[in-house]
Amino acid sequence: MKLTCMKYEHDLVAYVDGELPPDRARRIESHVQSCGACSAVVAECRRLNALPSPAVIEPSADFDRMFWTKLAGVRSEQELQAGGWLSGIVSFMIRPSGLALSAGLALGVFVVALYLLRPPNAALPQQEIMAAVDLDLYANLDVIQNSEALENFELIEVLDELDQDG
Amino acid sequence: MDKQNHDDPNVLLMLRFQGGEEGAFRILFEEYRGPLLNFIFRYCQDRRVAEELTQEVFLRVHKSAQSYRPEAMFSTWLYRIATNICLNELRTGRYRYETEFKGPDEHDASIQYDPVDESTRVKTDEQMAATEQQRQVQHALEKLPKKQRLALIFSVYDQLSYREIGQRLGCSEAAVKSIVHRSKLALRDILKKAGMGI
Repeated sequence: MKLTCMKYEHDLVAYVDGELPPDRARRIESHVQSCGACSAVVAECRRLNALPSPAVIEPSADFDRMFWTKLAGVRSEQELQAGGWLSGIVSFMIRPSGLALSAGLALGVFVVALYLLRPPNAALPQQEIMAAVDLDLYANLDVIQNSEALENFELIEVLDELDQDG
Repeated sequence: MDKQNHDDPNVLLMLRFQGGEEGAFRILFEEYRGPLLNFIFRYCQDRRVAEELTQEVFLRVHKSAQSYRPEAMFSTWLYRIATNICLNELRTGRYRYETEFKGPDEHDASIQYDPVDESTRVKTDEQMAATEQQRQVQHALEKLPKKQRLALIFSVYDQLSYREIGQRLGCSEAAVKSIVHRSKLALRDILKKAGMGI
């Protein structure tokens, strides 16, 4: 390839495709007329553009049916996501496959309701138990404060004697 | 919306579909399923995959109805979706297809042969040579990078301008010029190497 060809080689395909501005196209045209190598490339590109199109195929017999089935599936998913989820759950629940799940859920709701509606005195609430513990501690405050003395038997004996003397 | 798009009857159909007219979508589906199928088939060379991807394109169109903006011709928008699906879906391996070119199945009743050929079922030497040439060209296309392959299909088979190819591929005219240049010279070299004179 000649040095002058390098100025044009990147435009040869676009020249054949008619994609160059008129000025540029004219310059390439005059070069191609005087250059065997570039003229050969142009001829090859023209033959490439004239290649026969491949055989045309038609959609298969079940193409349409398959598509509309897919579309129906996508739509029901969209409905489920866009607020129709409740009706979707209900329709699932009343199906045979959803009945076991429905029965389980109903049992769960029943147990929770029983717990929430139990009689008020069935058990002391946690807060009241803590209050009772606090009261007991308060009543035995002296004992608790002298708990170290309670562990010393000699001291207990002395205290006992002093108590009897007193 | 510019005037060009306003004049496109298929843009108007898409807008009618956007407005809730389901029949408008059906018209678009029936008009474009054949051309789209052939475009994708030329790209992937697998009928089953081409049908799946064509259906995928129309599912996307249906899903995108609410966000559709008529910023281009309807066909440009449609082929842009198809191009993205060809480039992305096949890359993810979701649709596996044979990379080995098998050529069109001559027993496939859906393939449209030349009417003369259809009536006589006898191929002349010329027709057989053309079929062989087609087979070799398709085989050569398979060897090109995906974007070059798409650009070639749009340029050689669909005779689109660089501007239209750019709109479908989502790139500039300058980029298309470069891609088409490389793809045509690469195709020429592959065919020469395979002993097929062009």
